[in-house]
Amino acid sequence: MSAKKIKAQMRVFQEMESQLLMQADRVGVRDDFMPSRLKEMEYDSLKKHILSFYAERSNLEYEMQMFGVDKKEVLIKMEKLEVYIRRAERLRELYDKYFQKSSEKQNKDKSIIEKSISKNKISVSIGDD
Amino acid sequence: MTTDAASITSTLAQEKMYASQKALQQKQKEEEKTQSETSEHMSSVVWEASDNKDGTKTYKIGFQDVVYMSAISSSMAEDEIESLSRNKSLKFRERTIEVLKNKFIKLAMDSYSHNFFVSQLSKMGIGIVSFQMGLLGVSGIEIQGLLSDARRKKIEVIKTSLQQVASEKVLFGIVTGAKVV
Repeated sequence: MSAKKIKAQMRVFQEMESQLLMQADRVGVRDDFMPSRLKEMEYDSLKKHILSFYAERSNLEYEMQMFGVDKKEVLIKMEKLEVYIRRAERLRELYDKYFQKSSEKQNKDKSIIEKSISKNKISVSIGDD
Repeated sequence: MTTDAASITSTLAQEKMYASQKALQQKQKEEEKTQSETSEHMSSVVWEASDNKDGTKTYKIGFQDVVYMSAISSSMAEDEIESLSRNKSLKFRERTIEVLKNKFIKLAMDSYSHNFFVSQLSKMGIGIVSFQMGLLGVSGIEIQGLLSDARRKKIEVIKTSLQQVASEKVLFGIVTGAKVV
């Protein structure tokens, strides 16, 4: 697939997402679908896809060993599947990195906020004068 | 002579007129006959009446839901709906309420649409349908319940749609090798 087509397809995904988020905003549940939550959804579905790829691979291996199926055809399928598994694993690593980075950033922000709160403490003394 | 000729032509013309009127009346009568055989009319709503063995009558809407809905929302007068709602023996009253409730939920879900025109039009529809339901005896609390039902359903739809988009996106990334993170 050409880079142009990939970009166009990604724009379609973005548009669909933004439309759905607008609907969520109108219903009043926009906060339930923050960017981090959307990434989590993607990560969950990625894990599901990886599992199904592994299941398919084991099925193909079983077919090849137990039944007398066309080995060439199965091998081609296995090769394709291997490529997909490799890509999926790489994608999972990228998602892991993303989550690690975002959690680090959150911790940093948290510490900055805590520091600023401790600095701006207002002391009030109540007395006669 | 001239007067005679004039009278002859006038009587001929009159006869012709009578004949055409008669033919028209006959035609109308025949049409009415065929209509009364198949269905009964009540200005805008049409239903089929069938006699049961025990002597009772059951009424069945001969139209499709969509046609019936449009008939109800556009051409049915308020007093007709009121009279229908009073007549409890009519079988299609419950069916009408059911259809209206389903329509109401769909419209309420559409009112949260991202499209401005769709949301505005469905809000108008909600008003019309809730008014009609009120005439049919559906209480305000029930209508409120339907609204909250529609909201809950919409949230569920949004959630599943977002999950589907995420899944498609990831799969696209795997198949093409595109960067989706």
